[in-house]
Amino acid sequence: MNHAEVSRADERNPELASRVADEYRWGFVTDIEQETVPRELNEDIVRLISARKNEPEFMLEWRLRAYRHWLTMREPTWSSVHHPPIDYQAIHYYAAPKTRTQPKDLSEVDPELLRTYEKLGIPLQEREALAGVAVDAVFDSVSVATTFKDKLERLGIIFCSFSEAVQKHPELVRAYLGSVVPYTDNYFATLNSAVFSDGSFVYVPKGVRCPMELSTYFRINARNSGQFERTLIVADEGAYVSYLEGCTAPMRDENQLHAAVVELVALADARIKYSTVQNWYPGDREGRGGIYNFVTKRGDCRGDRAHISWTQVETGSAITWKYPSCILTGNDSVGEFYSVALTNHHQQADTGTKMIHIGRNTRSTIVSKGISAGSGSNAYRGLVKVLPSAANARNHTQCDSLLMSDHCAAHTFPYIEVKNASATVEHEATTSKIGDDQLFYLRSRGLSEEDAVNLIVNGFCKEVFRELPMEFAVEAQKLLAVSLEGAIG
Amino acid sequence: MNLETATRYRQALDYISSAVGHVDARQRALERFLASGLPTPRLEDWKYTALDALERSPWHAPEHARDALPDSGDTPGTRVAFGNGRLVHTGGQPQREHSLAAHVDDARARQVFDSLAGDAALTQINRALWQDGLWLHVPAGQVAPPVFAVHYASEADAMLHTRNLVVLEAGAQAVLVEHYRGVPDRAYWQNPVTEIVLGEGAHLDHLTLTEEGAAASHTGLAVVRQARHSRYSALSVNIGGRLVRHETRVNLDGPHAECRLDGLFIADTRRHIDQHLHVEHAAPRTTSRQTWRGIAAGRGRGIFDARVVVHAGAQQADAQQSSRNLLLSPHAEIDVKPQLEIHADDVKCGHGATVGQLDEAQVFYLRSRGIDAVTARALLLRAFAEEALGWLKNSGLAGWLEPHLAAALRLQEGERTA
Repeated sequence: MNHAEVSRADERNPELASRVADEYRWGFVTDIEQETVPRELNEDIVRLISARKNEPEFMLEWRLRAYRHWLTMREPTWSSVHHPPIDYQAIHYYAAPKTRTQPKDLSEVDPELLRTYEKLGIPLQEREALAGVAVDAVFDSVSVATTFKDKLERLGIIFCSFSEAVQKHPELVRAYLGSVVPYTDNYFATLNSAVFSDGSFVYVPKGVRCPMELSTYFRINARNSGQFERTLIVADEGAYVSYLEGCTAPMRDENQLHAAVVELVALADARIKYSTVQNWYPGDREGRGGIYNFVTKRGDCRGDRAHISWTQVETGSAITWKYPSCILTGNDSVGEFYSVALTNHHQQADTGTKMIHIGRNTRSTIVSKGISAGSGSNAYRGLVKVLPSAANARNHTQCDSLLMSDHCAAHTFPYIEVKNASATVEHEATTSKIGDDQLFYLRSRGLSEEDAVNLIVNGFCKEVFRELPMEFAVEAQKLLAVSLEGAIG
Repeated sequence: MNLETATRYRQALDYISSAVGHVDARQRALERFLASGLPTPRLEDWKYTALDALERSPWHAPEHARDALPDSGDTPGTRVAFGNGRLVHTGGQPQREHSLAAHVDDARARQVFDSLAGDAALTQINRALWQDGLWLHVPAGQVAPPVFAVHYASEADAMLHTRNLVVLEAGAQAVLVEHYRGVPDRAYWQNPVTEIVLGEGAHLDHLTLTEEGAAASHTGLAVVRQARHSRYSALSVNIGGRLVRHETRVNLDGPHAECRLDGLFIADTRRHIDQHLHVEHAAPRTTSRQTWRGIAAGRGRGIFDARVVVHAGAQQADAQQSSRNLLLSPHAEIDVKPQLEIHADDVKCGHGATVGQLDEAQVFYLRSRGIDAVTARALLLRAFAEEALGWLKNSGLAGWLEPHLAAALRLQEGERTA
């Protein structure tokens, strides 16, 4: 029986379908042993992923519900990004395809990538790891990670991979998984819910202030995070955590489609600061290749006075489609979104945020900076919604776009919906290019054209960089400079 | 669209077909409309407006033109009146030279008629069922006296698909006032489509006052095409109707063309007012300005959705949008969607949008000067509305608009917040 028939049987008779699928699942076991999972997507693959990870029944049920829902959905077309159709059946949903193409040493790695590492000043060993070179003895970061873990454990902070959390803290996972981004949320989040392979899990107990910035980079098993990542961060009452995602160096990655989900839950008086520097492979100058990054990120300020802050610097990926959002449920809760998105060559970004004001005296701030160069296309798309319950809600939004070539594009699509008469919402947007007079002034002071442009771009992004943890901010500046190389002149 | 509704629309076309021309083309447009149906909130452009009430109503083609129109006040210039969709006498002679039905087959009208309106569902039904509307043609270099067109509706359950065509040849100048109004207690539906073609260096000042009756629906479309150095100044004042959805599309096709699209809306009682602007900067050195002020009170809902598109190659485009809104009651709602879509680099574009309340400090200041709270608020509202009236103040039309505006600003009794 082929899969088309399975799904037809599914429609007619769910019970029959599940038996058929059960039988089929056994057929797969040998496949697992051979480490060759076919490139396709069906219920068996979902069952296989769950079985392989030895997940409890509730996880499998949840994944299957997501998968069945996904079958009823259509890929969204409302955004400003364009790409050839994605064949969801031609993706390896479980095996890590990296292992098949891993270079043996740096000499096999794209020299372009290596030059970039050099400019960013990344240590040699790290370069190997980033480029995906098989490194046997994982260097310092293992010990670093272990020390970190001890320290965190003493404070009661749980910081582990998602798979580990499912095994060790199923009650927490069950309580919070899908509570911010339900499995029915959107096409890509639903797909992720069905097939996600791993990700990070953080729980900070009541009143604990996490003493260090948490980062996937320091998590031992972060290396093969895969294309369907899922992150869940819970800050209990009065807790504080700052989480860094990604890395400033370009990541070598074979997967074209990335559909990650990040859920943040902040209870009363808790604060979560989530920073991202995304620099996946953007494709070459002609727009060939590159990552499609379709990400759903959402935080829920569930308790009073909770505070969630998103900061992102998006310079990579052929396509970036993400809207880190805040649901301001608790009274006096605060949501923030700071973003720099840069598109060069043929990159496309459609990014922004949603601020949903539900509680009283909720406040939100949005600062979005878009930079378009080459044939890049950059769109801010955001929603500020004030519900009738959100008395005295306050929002300020600032969206600026910088245009650096005559064939790039910059769009602003804000939605403002206000249903409470005591709310104050402000939105401002500007679009302009780097002034010739500004350039001339800097050049007359002896700066090269490139340095002058970098200086202006950094100034343009300052409000966002200020929100990044210090070491990240420094690297983010370098990263912009590298990404913009050759964009002017 | 169900069979019964479709039958009504077909009957409407049968009813008018003996009196109008081009029945085949009308038939085709009708079928296209029936195939697509009325737009639904599933369409992005209709996100905030549902036409369910329109869908359910038993519309028919208007059966009698009305001869005695209520007084529209001291109107400037030539007065052209349409009652229930057809040209009517206004005291003296009906202004036949301004009837589109009488001129649509003239050589000049034929060149441009229906060239801009597009093929949205509501335009198709207008195309199928229009009977008359304003024809304003100003020859090259001439300055026309102001034209005042009133579109009056008085028949219950009548749908009025007015079609207007304005053509200003190179260097021509005109002032046009359109006033849409009707009886307060009857449900009718006005669905006007207006096409405006401005030749090189032509200037048009265009005031549209939509003051429909409290039970009326109004869905309108105006499309403007501007040649080089032309100037279009528009002010839309939306203060009436139960459900209003108006769209203005401007194509800046020639270099140095400029448009100014200002507006004011007051959504009190249960009024729903949805306004869409769409400006295409298709040539270099074009300018657009939008200044909108909105007030929502009672259970009213105001929507402002404006999109500016700068085409590749339209360098030195200059586009500014400003949308400020006051939300005066707990059950009112304001939705704003100011959008910029830019495909060139040497541009100056910006927008600002706010939703808020009257400034209590300003109210306090006025009260401390001995002005009572009600008057103080009224003054501040008036000042707020004034910001949208920019170009009108110098046009000689402000005096005519004043009483209408003053009445609307006295928000409906019981809907004002204390």
